Amino acid sequence: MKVPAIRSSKLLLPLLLLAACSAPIDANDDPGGPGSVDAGGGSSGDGYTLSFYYGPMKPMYAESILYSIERITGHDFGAWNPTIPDPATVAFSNSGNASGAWYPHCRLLGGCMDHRIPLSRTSFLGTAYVLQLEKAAAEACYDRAAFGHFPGAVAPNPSLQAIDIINHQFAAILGATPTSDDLTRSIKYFDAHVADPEFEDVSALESAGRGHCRALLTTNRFLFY
Amino acid sequence: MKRKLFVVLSIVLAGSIASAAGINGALGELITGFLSDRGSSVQRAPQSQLARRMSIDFTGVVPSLNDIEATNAMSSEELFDYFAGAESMPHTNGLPAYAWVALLRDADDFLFSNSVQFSQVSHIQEFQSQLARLYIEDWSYQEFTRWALTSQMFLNRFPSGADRANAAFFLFLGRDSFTSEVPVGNMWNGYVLRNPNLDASDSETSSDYHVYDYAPSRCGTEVVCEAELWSQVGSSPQDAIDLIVASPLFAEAAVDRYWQRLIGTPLPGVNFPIIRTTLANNFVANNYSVNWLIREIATSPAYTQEMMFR
Repeated sequence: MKVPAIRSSKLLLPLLLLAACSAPIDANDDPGGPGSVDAGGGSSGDGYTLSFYYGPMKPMYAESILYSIERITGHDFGAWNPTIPDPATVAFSNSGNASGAWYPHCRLLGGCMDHRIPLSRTSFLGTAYVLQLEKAAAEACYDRAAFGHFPGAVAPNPSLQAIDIINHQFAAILGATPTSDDLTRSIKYFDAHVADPEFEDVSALESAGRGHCRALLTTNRFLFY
Repeated sequence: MKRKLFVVLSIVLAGSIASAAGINGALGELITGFLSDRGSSVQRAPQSQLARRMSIDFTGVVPSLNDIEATNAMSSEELFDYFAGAESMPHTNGLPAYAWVALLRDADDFLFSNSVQFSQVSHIQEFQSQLARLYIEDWSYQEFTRWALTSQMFLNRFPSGADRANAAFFLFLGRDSFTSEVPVGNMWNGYVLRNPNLDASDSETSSDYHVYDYAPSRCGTEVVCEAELWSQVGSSPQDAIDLIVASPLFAEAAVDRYWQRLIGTPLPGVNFPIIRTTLANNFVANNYSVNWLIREIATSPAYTQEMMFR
């Protein structure tokens, strides 16, 4: 097995996407869409212009991210009980109201509030956030016992095609069918990774599927809803 | 005091019910009208996008493949009922998923915010069990607030009358109290007010140092003094609570809270106040039901339109 180090180029794309999406949206920016109608109608910086032209776009809570990844992949991050927030016995010690990697992931993704550390939920998705999300996504997608991100929730058999895995993962992770552009990029990803698998202890197709799962989980399309 | 409050509350309720006649979906009409006036129209999000949004907001997780298939042709209202009606899920500790998500978000506001930070586990659990009644039993948010402001958790965390008044404003009216609203703290102090008509040794019966200015004319020969706020007079914690939960600010703050939670941005009330007042009036008319409020917002174009970037 090759060293599964995170390549810098793999980090760059989600980082840039997140930076773009976490930038404040100026309500007076002309989006080139329906907002320009209002601006042309004498808007004097009302501040609510875009509120009614578009639906909400919010980053998922850390808890939702982790529970969703568990639902998608079948991986178990551990347990957490929000009604017993007791960091003295919880923090990184696998005891109290949390176990496994749940609490570290959740905390560093800006969630799992408690009463001792007066932090708000994160509103800025920065480098540390992306690194933690990469870590959580890799942990789940690379879990050899987890197959939820493959069709039928079983290991890919030789008759399975890359397109089947792509369609399944787009539906399970993004709740949508891939566009033609998505398909082009994903098939290119599979071709490259099947030719040069990241893992040698599984089939080349499974190796590529696990990498593709991680890639989708670290896009803004998964995080924002 | 109570009689005056009852009159005020009755007027508010009567006005709300009157204005609520035929006003179902009023939020949708307002937003549709707003867009129409500007030559635009509502652009509903693609079905998969809206299903995903509702699934995350009302179950806490992305939709399963079965959910996506089952909701393929549903209206916004049907989508809401489908996801908000989901049973308990593996991550929800036995609670209906809708209540679990709501409690998770309530915890940020009520339990662990920078300003609150409750710490006793038994109190937190009792508080959450009462909060859950809002979503499971459709308990009145006004009644919940009355309970919360007299709960042991609240009293322990905020030991003085002034602290309690400030915290009540912060939690349930959506802002800190102004200087002019200090009398509500005096009201909360009740019998421990320092009465200038009595000797200090008789009247200073409390170690509470939060004793503010008050009008000596409001104090008789008893230790108890009266305080006035918003043209209402009171002299006990119950009077202060009655004032707070009957205030129009109370319903509007709840509207702001759930709007921010579901839409992700503050309600644009300054420039477009009719949305807040309409929602608040109907919230009152619907017996302070947060379930009604959530459904109203989540099935309106403010929530169901397509997101800007996708």
